[in-house]
Amino acid sequence: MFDPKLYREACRELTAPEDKIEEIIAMTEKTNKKKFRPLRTALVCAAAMAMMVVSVAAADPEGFESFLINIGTVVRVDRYRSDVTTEDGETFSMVQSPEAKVENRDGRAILVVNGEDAADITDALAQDQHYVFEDFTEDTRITITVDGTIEKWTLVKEVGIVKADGSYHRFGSDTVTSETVDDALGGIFFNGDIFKDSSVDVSEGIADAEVVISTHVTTTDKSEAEK
Amino acid sequence: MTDEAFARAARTYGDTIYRVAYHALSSPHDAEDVMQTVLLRLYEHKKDFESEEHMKHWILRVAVNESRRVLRSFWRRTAVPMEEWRETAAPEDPARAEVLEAVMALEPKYRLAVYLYYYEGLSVAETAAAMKANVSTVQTWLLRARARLRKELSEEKKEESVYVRPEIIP
Repeated sequence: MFDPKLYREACRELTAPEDKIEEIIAMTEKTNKKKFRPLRTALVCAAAMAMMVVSVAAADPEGFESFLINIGTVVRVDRYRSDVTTEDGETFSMVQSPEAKVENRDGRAILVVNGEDAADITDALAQDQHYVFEDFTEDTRITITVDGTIEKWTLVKEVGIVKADGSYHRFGSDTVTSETVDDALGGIFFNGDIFKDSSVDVSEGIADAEVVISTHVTTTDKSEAEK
Repeated sequence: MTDEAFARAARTYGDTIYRVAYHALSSPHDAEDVMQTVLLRLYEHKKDFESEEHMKHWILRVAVNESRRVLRSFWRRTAVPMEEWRETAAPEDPARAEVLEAVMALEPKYRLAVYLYYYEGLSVAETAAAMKANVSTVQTWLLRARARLRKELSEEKKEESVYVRPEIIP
């Protein structure tokens, strides 16, 4: 006979690991959701623009300069995406692709995303040679697909946003392999009407121009803030 | 949501999300992943909740949806063996372990309905809303779940009480 009281007592014993919840709280406390200060805004843009020089300036250097001057604000939407508004009212989004790799730890394949263990994918690689990790924020979707074995793997990071109507818009993707992992860094993808006239497709092509934006921004921001 | 409000909500509802995901997925590891995803969505939720009850229902709905998404994911097409939950989650008390095992042996939709109705104390209509199902469908699920649990648990009882009459040797 099913005894609801007994079942409730059994369920009460089902609890998440204590440290896991505290870990999540600590993780969110590190995330800054607030609008960036003007100084920070300018520096983030500078870092972003430094990247864009690689692909955009070659095609249209004058357009690039004008664009850089007209930057208005940068609002961080979530942990991956920031929305930029120019003083002319034009907007575009930039989404940071996470740093991701597979580590071999005593024979266990651990997927590491942004320096944190995301999943133990040993069994998935052993069985299917395939694993998919997804991370959602309010609008941004990050999909990391790992193919291969623990020794020789290929990891594809796809970045996109879910629009208001529910449709998915892919920004772009970049690839890391077990051979290139030591040199691989998280890239940034740009998207918006502002790029329509550009002869270079920055939404897709920027993956070839990866720059460590997080390091750049943090270092510069701190040193400037101390002044 | 402020950091303080989020921390309070995470400590209050972390276990609830974990239990929902656990009932849906039968895997402690996947349940932890779902808990993390749902809590991060809560943190990034921009609108204010009207009440504590509103927040709880939002959390339950998102937890069910996220668990279903994981359940549908192609890397979970191979079923999670029942042994996985036994390894980590069986209550020490045999009677509790037995009833939880019986519930976990049901299909995911039945397990979720049973959990939301019997543990979270939701009404049938609220359970249906959380599971995005019709009220009548949820009523049927609960009816079938109860019937299966009754059968399962009474059969176990019968097996336990089997008595072999000693043979009388003249």
